[in-house]
Amino acid sequence: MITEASAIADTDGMTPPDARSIRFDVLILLTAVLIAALYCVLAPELRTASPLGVALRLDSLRRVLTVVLGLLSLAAISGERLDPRPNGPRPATGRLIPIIAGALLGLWWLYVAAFTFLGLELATDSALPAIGEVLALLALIAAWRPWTRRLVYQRAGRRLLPAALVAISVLIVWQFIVAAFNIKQFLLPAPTVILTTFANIYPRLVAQGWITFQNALWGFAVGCGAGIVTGLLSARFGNFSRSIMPYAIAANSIPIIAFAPITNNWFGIVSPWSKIAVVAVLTYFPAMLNTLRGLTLTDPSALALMRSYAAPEWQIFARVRWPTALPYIFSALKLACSLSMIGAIVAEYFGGPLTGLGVNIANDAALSRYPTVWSEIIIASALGIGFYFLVSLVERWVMPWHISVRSGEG
Amino acid sequence: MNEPSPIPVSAASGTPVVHVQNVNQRFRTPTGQVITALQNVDLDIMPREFVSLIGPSGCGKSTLLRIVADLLTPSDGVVQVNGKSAHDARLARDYGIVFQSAVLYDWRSVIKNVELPLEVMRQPAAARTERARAMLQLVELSDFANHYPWQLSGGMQQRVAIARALTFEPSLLLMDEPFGALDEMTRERMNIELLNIWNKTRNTVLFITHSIQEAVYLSSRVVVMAARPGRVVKTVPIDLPYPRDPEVRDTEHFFHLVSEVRAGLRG
Repeated sequence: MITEASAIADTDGMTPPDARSIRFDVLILLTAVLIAALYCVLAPELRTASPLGVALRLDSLRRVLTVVLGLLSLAAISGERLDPRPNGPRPATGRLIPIIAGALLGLWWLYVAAFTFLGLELATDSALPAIGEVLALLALIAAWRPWTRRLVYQRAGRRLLPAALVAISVLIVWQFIVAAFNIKQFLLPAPTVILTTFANIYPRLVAQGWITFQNALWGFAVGCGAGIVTGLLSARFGNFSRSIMPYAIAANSIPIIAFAPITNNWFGIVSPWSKIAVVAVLTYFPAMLNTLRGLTLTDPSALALMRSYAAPEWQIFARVRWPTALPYIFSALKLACSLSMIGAIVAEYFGGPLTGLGVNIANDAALSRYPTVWSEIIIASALGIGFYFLVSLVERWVMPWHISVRSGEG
Repeated sequence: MNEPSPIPVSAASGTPVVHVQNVNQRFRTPTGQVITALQNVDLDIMPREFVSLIGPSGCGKSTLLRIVADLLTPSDGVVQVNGKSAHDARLARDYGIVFQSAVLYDWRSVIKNVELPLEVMRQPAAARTERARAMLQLVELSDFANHYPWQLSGGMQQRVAIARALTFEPSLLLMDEPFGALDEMTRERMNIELLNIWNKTRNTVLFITHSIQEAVYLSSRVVVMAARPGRVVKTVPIDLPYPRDPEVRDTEHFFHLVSEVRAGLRG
């Protein structure tokens, strides 16, 4: 008996010698980038002079970034727990350093938050933000301890190398073909041209991308929220489901983007609601159908078990049906977050405020400014991918037990 | 563990834990045919008996267990558990049940799975955990309390399911082919394990199996069923004394009992 047990524990590889993953490093790098970016807003001389300072002048964007910085700093400080070291207890200094690092990061965050949320400028003398920034970065490195992570990098390097090589060779070939065959810029600009354009205009792109992303986000929230709620109702009340299902499936195949001109007419062409409505309708059906599917595919034995405990209906829901449905709901959310960014951009093709990304893609394309269009595509895909990662992150956090999330793939 | 069985099982008396009288179960197929899954079934199980139901597929043994568990209502007949109707017994949580698949919830650790019934019954957290730990000790899985079900082998998962079924001290344990999905070697080891556990708890057990050896080795009484219509055809009392050593399976008397059950199955 005991031997069976220990054999399993040994061979399963549940705790490999170094279970740490590169995720922690990504988190640290993101934090460092945010510290640097927010410094561009805080230092008076950079606020209007640096492109990043200009890009971050959007109040709503800065607020979100400040909150994200706070969360990331917390995660970085609790890194020991998120990403435990392979073996042995920490050295004696290991207890003190996280406290000091945490305190420094906390101070820096308070300073950023005071400016962002209250408009307080604590430093009339411009040396203070610079010192704060340097200390914050040092604290981050102390929490990170990159020198202990050589093994992690070796492993990650081996794993990521093929994909990186593909990306680099595609870019080189692209550049070479454009030069060799003298391809016109409006057909296919060279990567270097796109990058130069991007570097020149990115403050504008960040601002526009943010406006469009907000539409995508709200549309996603409204559409998926309504989808999950009606999915719950359909699962609970069979008649509701039977009466609404055929139309839901039929409506799912309508090209919803085609409704954009109509929502423009309803909500006003410059109102964000005309875009949010399109995104909401676009994301509603996957969320609703998957919620319903997940809630009705519960293992009959799992339900029989709860019945054998004479469990009341709400307990069966909370303890069995809902956890079973979660993976389905999250696969719908991951589908919907990509759809929402696409929907928000395409909805703007039919007209919208000039502050949005989609309007500008359409206009720049009409004016044959293709390197600009490519730069806009870059920022749009970056936002789409970022949104997807955000949802995946929430998924990992909500259901660490699920098969798609389980153990050491990191 | 080595003290002799406190009571000769065949002589156990008092009110039966399970009382099934003249139960019929008919299903209507989608094409409109009526299938008799159980016909005039009578079965009484006395306290501390270990009764196995054995029979070919479709003989209604699972149906009978589900009727006792009040997961299914019989077409007619009387079903009582501990002197109550099957429905009241379920509401009073008189039985624990183990299915062929372990039915562990992936989102709960092993110990949280064992605590599940106590959670449903709203017991305080501390008492719950203590009880679950004791149960894991009983099935020798203490070291795996904080693992997740998918990290365990099939046999270990089934042991967690047994711990979960016993955690609220039900007087009756219903087991629906609990080892049917395990390989032969694991199944034999699980049989020994189950007898060890039963030796400590001495619940009344209603056990369903396809394996004649398993039925004879575990039970104090084997009830043989036949199909079309599902009915009881023979009862074989197993007079091997408890606790039973694994070696008992190599004795002549054991073989004799096995042939007797087999003869019943042939009809």
